[in-house]
Amino acid sequence: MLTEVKNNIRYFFNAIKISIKSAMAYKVSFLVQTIFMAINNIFFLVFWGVVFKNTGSDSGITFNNVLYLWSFSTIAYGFAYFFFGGIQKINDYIITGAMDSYMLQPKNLLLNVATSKCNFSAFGDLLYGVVVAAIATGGDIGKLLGVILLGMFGSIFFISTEIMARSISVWIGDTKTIANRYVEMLLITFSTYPENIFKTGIKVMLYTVVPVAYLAYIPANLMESFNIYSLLLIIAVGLVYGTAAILVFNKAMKNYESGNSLAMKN
Amino acid sequence: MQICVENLNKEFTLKSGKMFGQKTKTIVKAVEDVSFKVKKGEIIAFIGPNGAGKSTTIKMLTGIIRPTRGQIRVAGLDPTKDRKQLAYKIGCMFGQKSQLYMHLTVRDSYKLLCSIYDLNAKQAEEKIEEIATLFDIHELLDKVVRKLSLGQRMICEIAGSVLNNPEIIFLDEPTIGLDIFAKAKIRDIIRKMNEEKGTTIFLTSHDVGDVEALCNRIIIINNGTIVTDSTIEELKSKYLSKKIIKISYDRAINNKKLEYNVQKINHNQVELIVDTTKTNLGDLLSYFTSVGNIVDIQIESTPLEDVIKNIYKERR
Repeated sequence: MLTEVKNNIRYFFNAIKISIKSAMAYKVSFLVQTIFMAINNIFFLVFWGVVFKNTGSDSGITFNNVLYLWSFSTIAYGFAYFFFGGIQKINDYIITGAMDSYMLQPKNLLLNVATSKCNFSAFGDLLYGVVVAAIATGGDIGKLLGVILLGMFGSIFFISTEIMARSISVWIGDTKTIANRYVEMLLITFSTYPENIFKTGIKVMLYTVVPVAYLAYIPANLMESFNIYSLLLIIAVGLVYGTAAILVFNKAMKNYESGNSLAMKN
Repeated sequence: MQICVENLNKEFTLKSGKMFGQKTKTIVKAVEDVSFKVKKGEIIAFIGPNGAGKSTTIKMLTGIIRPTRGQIRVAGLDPTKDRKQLAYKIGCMFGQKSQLYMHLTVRDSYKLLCSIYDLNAKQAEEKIEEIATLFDIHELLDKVVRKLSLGQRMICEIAGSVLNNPEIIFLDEPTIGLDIFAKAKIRDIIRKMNEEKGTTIFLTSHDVGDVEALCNRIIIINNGTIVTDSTIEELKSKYLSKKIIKISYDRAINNKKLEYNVQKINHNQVELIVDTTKTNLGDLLSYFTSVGNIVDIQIESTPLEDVIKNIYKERR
């Protein structure tokens, strides 16, 4: 058991190293994607800065709260897609039959698939998130570390959502569009706006089917006033989401029917 | 026995109908009551036309898809339940799917594959060196995969599939799209693996040449069921010994009466079917050389589809 864990960890780091090496085959593209993703995110914060400067923070929302939201959501996003970018390929692998190659290898299938790709622009998000967290925490190293660790844990919500949304391709055909829209329009969009601006109905959604509260709102509130129960709640919900994703993926793989399209790893 | 298959069945359900209307389900039987056994060290050809059920069977043998019914044991394991353990014992090369990484060098791809098989960095280096020597691919190791020719890539794919010292190798169309030189090299490599390491080879191919050159046993599958399971000698003497020979001359020979089993005369080309076990090829060539000036000779094996048709005819 311990040896298997050790071997899986070694494989994980090798897969990441190889993915980065693969990205380095196109250095310029990697740098451009990283820089542009960071610039793209900076514009959003500039926009928020202008809003707060002109309207003040009478609504109870502070600029620092927005900084925390952005750092949590971008660290979670960056960590999920840079290290586990293969999750965005699950539907492709199912539809084209490319899953076969991964099934023929003696590794945990989900880990193998998840680490099969790096989303390079996500590295820009990750870096950006850490920089924004450094600004938000005002140089408090302990708090900064807390934001990074909680942000990394928050990636479980992106990863689980992707796995579930894409695995169902086995039953209903290619879910690429559904998964992309779900993540972009719901998880990403809602996680970068303060909770207070939404009404009850939407809030219920953000605490249930779209788990934005656990990846951004509650962590951001924790940074301003720490509460152990909130922290435990985040961990518990994260584990439930993670387990659900693994169950859906495993069930999908039992129904996987392969295919004969030409496929090449990249 | 290295592979033991009993009453294997695979059914797929196809749904059709309007998006919001009533759907009709059709059950397609891809593999039906297939049974066979393969001994250690055998090179077995598992052949059949497109859609016959070859790939579906291989996918069930390797644990990729689950059978609807039936029993499978491969290297003593049940592929459905023991997929990960089985992966340590088998090697697979599917001609249409790559396990190499197209943006990486062959060496880096192999390193990652070695870590998949739990080899540490030193063991991986040694293994890659051993494989490179066995396959004679030292000069390809530091080339980026996408820059390899198809033949080079196929050789590297096969080499990649034996990094784990497999007991059994499944090769699905290993010579697809290759020229005769690359085909010959791949056949040599497969033979070498079998002779030097005693590896069991389970091969599918559309190329009768692969089968004749490598296999000692042949299973033909069609419409999901086994049509024949015999030694290559039996099959050769019955069906594969017939060759189609096309001889082209420098001028028209339409008006000549010719000996042998001539099927067609088309302007300057003669097409005949020859049973190589009954016909002296030297005499045949001398005769056709005397007919006129030969500019080209093509020799083809009987198409697999014709072999299957003949087998069916005999059974009636």
